[in-house]
Amino acid sequence: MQNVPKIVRERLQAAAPSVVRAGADSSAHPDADLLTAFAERSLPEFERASVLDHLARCGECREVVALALPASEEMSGPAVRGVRTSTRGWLTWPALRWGLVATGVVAVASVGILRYRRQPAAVTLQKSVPVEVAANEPKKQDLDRFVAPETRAREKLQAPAPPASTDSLSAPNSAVAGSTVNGSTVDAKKSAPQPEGSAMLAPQIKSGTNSYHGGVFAANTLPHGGPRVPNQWAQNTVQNNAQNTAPVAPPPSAYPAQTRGQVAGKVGVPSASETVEATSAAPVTTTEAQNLEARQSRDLPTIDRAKPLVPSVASPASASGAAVATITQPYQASFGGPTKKAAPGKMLGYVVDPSGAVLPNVRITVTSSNAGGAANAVTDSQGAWLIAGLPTGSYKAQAEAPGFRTTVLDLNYNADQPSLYRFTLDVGSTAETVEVTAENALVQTEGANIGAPINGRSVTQLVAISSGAMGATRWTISATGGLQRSLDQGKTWQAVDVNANPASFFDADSSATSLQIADKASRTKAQKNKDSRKVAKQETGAVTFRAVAAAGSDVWAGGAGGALYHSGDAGNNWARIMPASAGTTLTGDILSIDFPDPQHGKLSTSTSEVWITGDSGLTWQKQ
Amino acid sequence: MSSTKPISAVQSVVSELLADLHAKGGCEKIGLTREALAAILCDIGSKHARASTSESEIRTFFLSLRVDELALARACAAGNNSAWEIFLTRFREKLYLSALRIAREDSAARELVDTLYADLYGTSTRDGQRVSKLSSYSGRGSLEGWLRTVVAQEYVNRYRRTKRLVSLDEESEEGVQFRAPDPEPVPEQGSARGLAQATDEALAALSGEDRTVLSAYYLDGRTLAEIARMLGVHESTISRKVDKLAKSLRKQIVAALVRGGMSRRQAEEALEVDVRDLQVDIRRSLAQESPLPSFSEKAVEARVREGEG
Repeated sequence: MQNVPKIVRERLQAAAPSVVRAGADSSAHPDADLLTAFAERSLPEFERASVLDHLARCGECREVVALALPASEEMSGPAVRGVRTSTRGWLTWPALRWGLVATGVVAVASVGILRYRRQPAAVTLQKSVPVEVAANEPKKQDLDRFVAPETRAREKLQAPAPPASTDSLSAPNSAVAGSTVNGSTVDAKKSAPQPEGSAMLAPQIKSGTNSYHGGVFAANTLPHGGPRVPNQWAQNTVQNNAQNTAPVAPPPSAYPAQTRGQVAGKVGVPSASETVEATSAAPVTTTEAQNLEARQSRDLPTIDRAKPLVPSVASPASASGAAVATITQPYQASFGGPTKKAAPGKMLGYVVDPSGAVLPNVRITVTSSNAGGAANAVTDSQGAWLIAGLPTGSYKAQAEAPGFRTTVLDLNYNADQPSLYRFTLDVGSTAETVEVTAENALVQTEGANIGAPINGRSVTQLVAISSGAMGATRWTISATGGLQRSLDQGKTWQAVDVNANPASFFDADSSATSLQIADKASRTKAQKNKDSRKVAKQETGAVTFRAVAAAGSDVWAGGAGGALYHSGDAGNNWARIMPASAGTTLTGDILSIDFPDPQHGKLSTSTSEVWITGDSGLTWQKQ
Repeated sequence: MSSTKPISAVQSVVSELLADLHAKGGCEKIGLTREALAAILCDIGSKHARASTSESEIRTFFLSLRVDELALARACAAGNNSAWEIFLTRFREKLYLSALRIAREDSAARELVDTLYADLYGTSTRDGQRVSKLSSYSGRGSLEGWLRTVVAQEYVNRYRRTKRLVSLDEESEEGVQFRAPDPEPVPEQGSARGLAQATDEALAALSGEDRTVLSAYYLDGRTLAEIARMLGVHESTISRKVDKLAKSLRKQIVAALVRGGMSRRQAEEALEVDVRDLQVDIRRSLAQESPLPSFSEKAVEARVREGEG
């Protein structure tokens, strides 16, 4: 509102008292009658004018008129006055009040942000799957230093052994993982003969482990990993490795014997820098926490080689860290049994169908034969379940899923040892129940001397997965870019996550298809079954697939950004392949994949490149 | 002479309208006779009417009166019980509420209302007669509005003064205490006098309504909405009016100053100068520095003399 010069106010003010003074008498004021009539606009014009004239000079009458206004609105005179005076200065109340409000908002926001930053760790941890298992194959090599940093000895984690799939090696899931596995393998070799190298091994193993878990664990958890858990792992490792079983998560695939031999043969001289490099190359080391962990691992005291180490049942990092974080949530495990045990173990398991495909949403009920308590879990999208806190004893575990026969396993569970149980659910009516008795954990640590992991992986007991339906597996890309397979001729489709292997299905005898170092000769030949399909967008995990091709149990899936995944076991395990030729790598979106047979394949990309391989993807040529 | 004509005119009109008005006002119920009403109407009419007022105007005036409320008020003033009953039923609550709204505080409101009832009933006597305040109600506005106005007047009379005392603080905050003593002995500086004069002229040229608006807005700090309701116009009208007035005032004052021999720029500046600054005669207060010692010398001398005496 326009402001009048001060002089105007002054003169307006000056006019008022003089008139009133001149009038002196209150009779000069219009009487209540007149004022009322004025306010109600019932005065004739001349009277109104005279009243106005008086009002112009008489503040009191103005006030009377204003006060006598009907109550239709709340009188706000004084309030308004207050506001007007209060706006005089900047530091008067309104300003301070708003300042306070602003401060409060900022404080809340910053707290929120801080909290938000801490959150992802927990969240991703929950996602990770505690399924990765390292099998510990007793080997002559002294690999006692394979202490998996991730292992939480304190937790007495029972790391179940990975089941071996009949037909395939489980390959590390990502190329990076693969390479680190290599690195660690080599390192492991070296370190065996060179005790002093063992100190350096930890990181390597670590990286190996991580990469081993690459798909399942590292990719999910560690890259986002909150600092806390990894640190704890590292610390635990430091504490425990000397005395405790520090199971190493063995690289996923049980390499064919010859591979192993090979690797073992070359005792490299890995420099620490190499190791570090390997570690840092792993995607999992991107976080600070990860680095810290690596550092700590590196500082691990050298383990006395003479001391028989507990053969490491690989306790997957995910099993340790993630399991701890996710005991209840992802698996919805509830503990009914007596759980007072000081170091409760974890019962891990996974559920597959006859073809080896993981089954999510299977209800697992573990009842204690003696105590009678029951614990429940539901398998997650990778078919894994976890129940922690159960004491040693015999249990019955029942797996139920619609459309499958309910299967009951009798478990001899030792809380002190990592244990992994596998259910294979046969297709059948729900009414049927199959009882399997006395199932021992697939992997058990059997004592300090037994297992000597080979190349960072120890395979003790490898369980073959029956793969009856293998040939019938059909593949497609969903509309959202997700990879899907059908085991029933396309009637139902299940999503396949190449980054999250439910379990490592190893088979020492089967071919190692997924790693570049794998020996292609051992690859099983499979019938041609080209099944390349649709282009679609969106993501499964982080990958948007555009094309998939299957040649028997060899499945190739490619998508955006040069993502190429290969599974040699009909999709149970995946490895990322990074085709490279003469210094260039494939980076464009893979639009089509053509594998007429498991060895020969062709990719075409959005960058108009064509890549071919004649050796199952181990080497590529760009055309 | 001039007054006789209107009175006779009023009387004739009253007698003409009396039956009508008497019925309309429901005077029977409250015990107001025709004669009493006629007297009241004549009284009111003669107060209102001027020499120039025509009969038709007087008729219109009477017809515009709220005869029913007027009758009620006068019956109450006369001490009619049924009239008081009606009055209290109709207005007691409203009276208290408006008092509360005005006083903004329960006890003050009750006190106000109590005082008012005493006035309405009539405590003071004149010639042995109780004089009720209600007898001053003339029916020109609604009785309710009149009551509110009376409450407001009472409030203003009683509390505004107290408030004013309090608001001296406010005045001192505004710098009143630094003001030079009343300007009359001080020969105003040319520019200041010119400015005040120009302002007065400009203000005087405004209509009563405009000045009322300006005063209510700038002096009383009323909101536009309040002013609008006081004057019975729309808020936006007042908003425009205040804007326009402020601009035109400024323009007129500047023009007057320019006419008085100032340059336009000087005039603008003079307008912006704080009036309080203008009225503080700095030179004079500074000049006092030198006379003061001599004055005190005199005082000392006087004291010395006294001592000697």
